[in-house]
Amino acid sequence: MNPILKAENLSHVYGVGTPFEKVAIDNINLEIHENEFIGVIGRTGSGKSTLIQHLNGILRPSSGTLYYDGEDCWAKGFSRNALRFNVGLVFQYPEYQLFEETVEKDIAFGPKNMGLTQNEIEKRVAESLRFVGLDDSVRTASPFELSGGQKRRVAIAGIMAMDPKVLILDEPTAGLDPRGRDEILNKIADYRVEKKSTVILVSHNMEDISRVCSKVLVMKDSRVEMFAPVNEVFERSAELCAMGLNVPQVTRIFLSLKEKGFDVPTSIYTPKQACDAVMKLMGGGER
Amino acid sequence: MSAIITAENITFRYSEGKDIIKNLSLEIEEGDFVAILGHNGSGKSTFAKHLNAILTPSEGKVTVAGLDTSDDNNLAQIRRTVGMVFQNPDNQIIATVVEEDVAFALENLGVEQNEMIRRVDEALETVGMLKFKKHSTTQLSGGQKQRIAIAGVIAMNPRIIVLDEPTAMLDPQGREDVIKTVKKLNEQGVTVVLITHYMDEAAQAKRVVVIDEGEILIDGTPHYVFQNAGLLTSVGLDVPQSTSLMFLLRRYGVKVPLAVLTEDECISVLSDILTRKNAT
Amino acid sequence: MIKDITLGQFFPGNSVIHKLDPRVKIILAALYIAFLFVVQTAVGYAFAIAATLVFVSLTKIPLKMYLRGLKPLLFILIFTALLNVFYSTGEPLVEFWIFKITADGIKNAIFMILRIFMLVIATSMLTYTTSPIVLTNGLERLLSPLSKIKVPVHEFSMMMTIALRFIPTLLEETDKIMNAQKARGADFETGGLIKRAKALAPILIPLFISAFRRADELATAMECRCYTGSSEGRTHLVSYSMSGRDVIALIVVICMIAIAVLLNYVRFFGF
Repeated sequence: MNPILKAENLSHVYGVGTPFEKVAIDNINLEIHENEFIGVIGRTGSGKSTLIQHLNGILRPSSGTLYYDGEDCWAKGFSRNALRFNVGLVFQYPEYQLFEETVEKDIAFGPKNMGLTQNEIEKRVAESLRFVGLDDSVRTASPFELSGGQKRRVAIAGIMAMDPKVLILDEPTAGLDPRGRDEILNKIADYRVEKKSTVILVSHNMEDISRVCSKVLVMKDSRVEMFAPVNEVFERSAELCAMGLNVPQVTRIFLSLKEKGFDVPTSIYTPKQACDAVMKLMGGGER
Repeated sequence: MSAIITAENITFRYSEGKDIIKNLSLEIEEGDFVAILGHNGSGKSTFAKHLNAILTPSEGKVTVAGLDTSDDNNLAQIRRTVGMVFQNPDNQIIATVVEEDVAFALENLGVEQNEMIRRVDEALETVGMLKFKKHSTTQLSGGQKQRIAIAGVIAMNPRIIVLDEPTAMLDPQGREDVIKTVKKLNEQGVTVVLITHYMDEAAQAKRVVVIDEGEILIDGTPHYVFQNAGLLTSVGLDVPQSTSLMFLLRRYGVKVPLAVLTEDECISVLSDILTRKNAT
Repeated sequence: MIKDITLGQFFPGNSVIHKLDPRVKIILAALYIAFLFVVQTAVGYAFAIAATLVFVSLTKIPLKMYLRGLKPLLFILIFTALLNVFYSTGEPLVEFWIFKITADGIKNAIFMILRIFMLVIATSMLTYTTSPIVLTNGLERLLSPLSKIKVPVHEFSMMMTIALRFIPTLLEETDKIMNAQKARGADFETGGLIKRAKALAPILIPLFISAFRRADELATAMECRCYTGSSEGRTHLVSYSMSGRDVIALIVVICMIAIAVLLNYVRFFGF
């Protein structure tokens, strides 16, 4: 199967020729396939945000090529606007981009720019409200009267309404409380299943990623350090820790136990896995 | 020890709205480190704003170091006694140079120049930002900005510092640095009130007060509070993974204590049961 | 990108000029401008150019940085120079159609260009060697006597300080919002005037809302740090005291004016 997005030797340098010149991403090679659910993790400044802003053509690579569905996105005649509709990008704190008088008008902004018919727009608005779990009654409300969590959902719905093949979300759970975070993550997961789309989720939180994603992309110092299924990445948990990433508490606990000489697995990242591992070690006889 | 903050049966509502805080009473001891935990919209931030008279109760009374917050004559004294740090680091930094921002409160208070220079340096040293003294505030990371905001507050030598979700907008590194700084302040004798929805931060406090729907749901040491995992999840909060693990092990009949919060505690419990197992 | 624009250009450094008291620097810049208007003869201009070059070299900032500041003015410079050349009285050197070019006209044009050049260099020197915040402080101190006659000097300087602090933040925010709307297919680049003006709403509305929210939060934070809005009883972290360096600089510039006045009586081939 052909990758839906492919980066070939992609590099981006900010402020070329100034004293502030900085390589943000360095020679990235990457293939993203349809219907994958990818988590992107890395420390601040590792190049995550720069990378995802290339994937929908907001940033132009300094060198290298980005392919969408096999086509060079910066070749002559390629429509970047179409790329933005196909690769939807939800920025960090997206609620700060809301501007319309009503929720439905705001969500309709993207579809309108796509030139869809009024009927189709209506359909998209209703559908994406359902995807983010907002009641139909908020349609005519002003987005500025909603709570923080609801505003976030409206903003995400605004991108979902464009029906992108690939949905990218930059820290969609930042600042939300545990319940808000879980709800949004679940909605995104459901959306992907129903739409059969590709989802890329950027997060500082390894627990979030491990809960919903199937693959993890680890960025370090402007490069891709790892790109593998979740369990394979956690098998290298000692490296993740050494990189200063925020690994789950149980992962750190099991790494310490291993160091103390206990024969425990170190690719643990949920309490459930931890419990199973302990029970197995104890012979499982105590049930 | 004596209470430095007392809230007596306070209720708060915006003019016509519903009650955001409902008949809440709370005493905080001098030198304590209290985490106020609650989900977004629980009323925890509204409560925090009562502690230095940004808001005053619709009913009831808040006293800070013996000063009634509803009395306007006390305002200046209350602001010196209670330092506030807010969520968005960008919206509380006033000056473009680090040291000038830290000095802002002292300039307002009319502190004499030599004394001011000394206190600015001291505050920057405490938050570990002394070497950024002459830097521009706009080029700092979120965590660094937040530590500058803390320095700007502690330069006033307040007896209490209230932090209203200071880490909500920070990356993991920034969060860790801020919490370390907060703990250090408490060790130096400052009473700390930390408003948060991160349970791992609350777990590091000496006392945790969980607020839900404007009322106190549960109040006690972190070990006591987090044992009530079911109650916490029912109001949209989390417990540390260590605590969840203990609950799961209990369910399988393994005899482990439930009051396990930190990594170290969990490691020692697990190595204990695994060693015992190997011995038999 | 928008955030690449650098505002209030300041080149940090340690030169003699950098170290001058900001109040003195503001006064010096004013005196220097006065000096440029006193100069009227070729000899005087030669003297002024020499003096300017000496000051530029003292700042240790390359001359080309100063010349860069002249670029946007080039058009106005040429335009006014031409006006001077063509519309002046005196004996014409060349005459055609309605134009006549006189020796006086050429002289005036050259002098005027030189004067504007040096004016720009002098003001650039002030902003290049003084950080915006120090400049604001200097202005506040210098103007503080005016507060006695109810001029809101302190308020003005606080506004300047906050504006300087928030300009980079708001520029960055504009950039973010623009990208977010572009990701929703917003088009800011094509179409007629009305279409483009309309296209700005998705940027301006969120930007205003955010600016008001920031202002609100900042006001609370300032109050929490004991700001009362008045300058009464306020002290300052940074104080400025005039040193020998400042006194010498003042004397030098005053002498320059005196020399310039004298030089006006020295003529060189009648110029």
